[in-house]
Amino acid sequence: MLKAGAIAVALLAAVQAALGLPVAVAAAERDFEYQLKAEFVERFTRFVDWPESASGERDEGPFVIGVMGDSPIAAQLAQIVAQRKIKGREGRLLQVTDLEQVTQCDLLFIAASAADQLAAILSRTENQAILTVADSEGFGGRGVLINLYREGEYLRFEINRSAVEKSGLRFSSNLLRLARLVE
Amino acid sequence: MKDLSIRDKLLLVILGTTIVALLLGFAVMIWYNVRTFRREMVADALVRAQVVGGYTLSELAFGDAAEATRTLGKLRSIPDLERASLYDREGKLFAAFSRSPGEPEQLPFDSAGFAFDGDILHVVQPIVSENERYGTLHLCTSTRALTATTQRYLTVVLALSAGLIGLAVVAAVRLQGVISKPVLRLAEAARRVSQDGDFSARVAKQGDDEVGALCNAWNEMLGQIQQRQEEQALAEAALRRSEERFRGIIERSNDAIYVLRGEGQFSYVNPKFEELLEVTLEEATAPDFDNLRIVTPESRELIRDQRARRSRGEQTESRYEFKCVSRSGRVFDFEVNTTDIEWGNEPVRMGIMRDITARKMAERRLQEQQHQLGEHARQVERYALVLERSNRELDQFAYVVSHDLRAPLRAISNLSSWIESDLGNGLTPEIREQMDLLRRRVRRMESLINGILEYSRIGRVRAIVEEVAVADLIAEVVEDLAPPPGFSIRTVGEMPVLHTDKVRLAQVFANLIGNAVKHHPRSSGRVEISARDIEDAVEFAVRDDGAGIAPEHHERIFAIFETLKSRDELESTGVGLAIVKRIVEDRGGVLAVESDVGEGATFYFSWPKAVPGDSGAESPGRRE
Repeated sequence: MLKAGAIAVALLAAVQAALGLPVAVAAAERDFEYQLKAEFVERFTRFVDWPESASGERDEGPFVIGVMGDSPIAAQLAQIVAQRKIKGREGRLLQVTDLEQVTQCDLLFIAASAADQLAAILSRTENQAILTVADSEGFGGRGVLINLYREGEYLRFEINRSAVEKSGLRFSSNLLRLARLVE
Repeated sequence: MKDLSIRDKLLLVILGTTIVALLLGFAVMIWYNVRTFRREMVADALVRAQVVGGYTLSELAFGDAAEATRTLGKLRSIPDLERASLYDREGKLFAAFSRSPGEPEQLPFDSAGFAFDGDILHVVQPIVSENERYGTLHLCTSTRALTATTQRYLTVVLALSAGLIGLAVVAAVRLQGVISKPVLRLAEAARRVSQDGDFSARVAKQGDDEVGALCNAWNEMLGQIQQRQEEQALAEAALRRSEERFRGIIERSNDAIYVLRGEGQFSYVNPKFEELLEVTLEEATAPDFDNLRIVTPESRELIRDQRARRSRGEQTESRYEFKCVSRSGRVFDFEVNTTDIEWGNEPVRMGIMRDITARKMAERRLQEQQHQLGEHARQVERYALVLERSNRELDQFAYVVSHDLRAPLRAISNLSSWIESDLGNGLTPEIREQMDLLRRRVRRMESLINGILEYSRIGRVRAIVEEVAVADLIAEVVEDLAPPPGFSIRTVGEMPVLHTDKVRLAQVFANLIGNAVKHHPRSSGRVEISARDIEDAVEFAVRDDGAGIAPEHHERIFAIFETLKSRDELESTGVGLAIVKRIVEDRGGVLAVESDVGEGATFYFSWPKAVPGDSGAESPGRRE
């Protein structure tokens, strides 16, 4: 978290340039960071295909985005699912408090605060068609499918390919092309 | 164009048609192909924009400009792609590729589409993912390749056109001969006919097409012309011969023949003319020859009049007579027959003068004789009138005498009766017998007078003409006669129906039948009446089986007052047959008898079927 203020300013500019999101002048730079991260999460769903599972209820029912641990992203994601459909389905945000809830999610954001529970979470999501996303350094190597990270003034992401293969989710090559791949 | 040879016209037509069709075809082909090229190019560019747009979607989505620039950089391998620009959703340039350095262009338009701008094809492709537009791709493609392709294509097509036109020229030059050669040969033949007058020129026929038919017609026409020329030559020769013959006839003619020009000037006289009038051809045709000199003074007026009328344009007699006088003073009668003819293309009047002097003389002599004959005829007519008048007077006399004689006879008869009754019983048988004799003689005298009256009346009384059925007429007559019962009187064969004078015919039959009965030696006998057609008359025969008449008496019986027997033997006046004869002869008929002693007698008479002339025709003595 070096030169956090400078990064925040750069991010703001980047967000403004790349996404054209409306920016409240008075909003904290952290909000912009998470706004961007939430946007990235939504956009990942556009480049990932969930397999046709045996239980049809996943296709019919709402697209469940779970948030594990405390993160400002939850508010941003809540705003997005309220406004847009995800994969053609109603979106629903689920604040995961119980590990058992993990398997109800189609997409699970694992906040940095849940780092000590990571192994338990991943043991539940392993081999499941659950897109796990995190924004903590090293999470990618530990088995989270997509892990966001900062590179200079840009927000980047890494993808754990072996975990992706095990999950059964199909990642677009365009997504893979932009990612830093980890094992 | 009009004056070009048919060969050049054909070439022009063939080549014109071919080239127009070829160029039109190629133009359509070029237009179509160039359009197709452009369409393909546009389609390529659109596909390319879609593909590139798909690739750059994630870069735009995740704001990875560097990756986007790299992706666009790969477009370098497409030679015609001049520039590719990627704009974010704000319209800001996100990434770009440019083959040549320069400022990036602005988006020409915002929506998806394409546009040609000079030698650049602009394609704009919005980059969208499920209702989210992340940006816009703008591709600029050079149309140089299209231009080059089009040019190459045009070059090939034009070369092909030139080649085909060349082929068409060669083919046309060769093929036009098929049509133009016979036509040109025909034209050459026509030139030979019109310039050289060579009608024997013929054109060899090539085929059975229209030109072939034309050649045939041409040959046939020439044949006809040639034949006509030959015929004309023959006709002219015939005409010349005919003219020679004509001249020969004129020169040898026994008639004097002349030819007069309009103003009455001789242009020709024939040898006979020269001989008769003693004028030579040279003299007669000399301009100062006065042709009235050969006309006698009495005919000059006629000739002058003719000439004057002709000069006024009036028609004159083509045939007339006049007198001429020769140089030596001989006078001729001529009958001239004139006719208007052409003499060496000049309208002239030809006259043929026949010498009728001898005929005229004969005519004059005949006229004199006729005159004398007329005198004789008039004399005879005068005699006939005198004779007729004396006849009529005789008839009148007989009538008056017999009429006047009847009154004293009647008186004698009556007186004798009165004397007889006055005497009463004092009559001696001798006196009574003589009184009877007296009255008989008086009666005979009376019937004699009646006969004369009857006879004279034949010439005086007008006949009434009507339909007469002869069979009925005879029946009436027989009934009136009331013959003794021993007599058979009948008709044999058909009896005609005549339109004639009934009373007279009845009189004839009554006399003949009455005679047959009266003179019959026996108290019974047979009388037969028959009829026979002889042209316009009917011949009746009345046959009896009586005593007959000796041939030496045949003449006598028809004379008046003649009877063959003594008056005392038979009460007969001797008038009957005379009356019959007169009636029959008055109608132009003939009465005859055929008989011998002991043979019976047959009287024949002919009676006209119709009354000669008018219905009221009578004998010449028509009197009241």
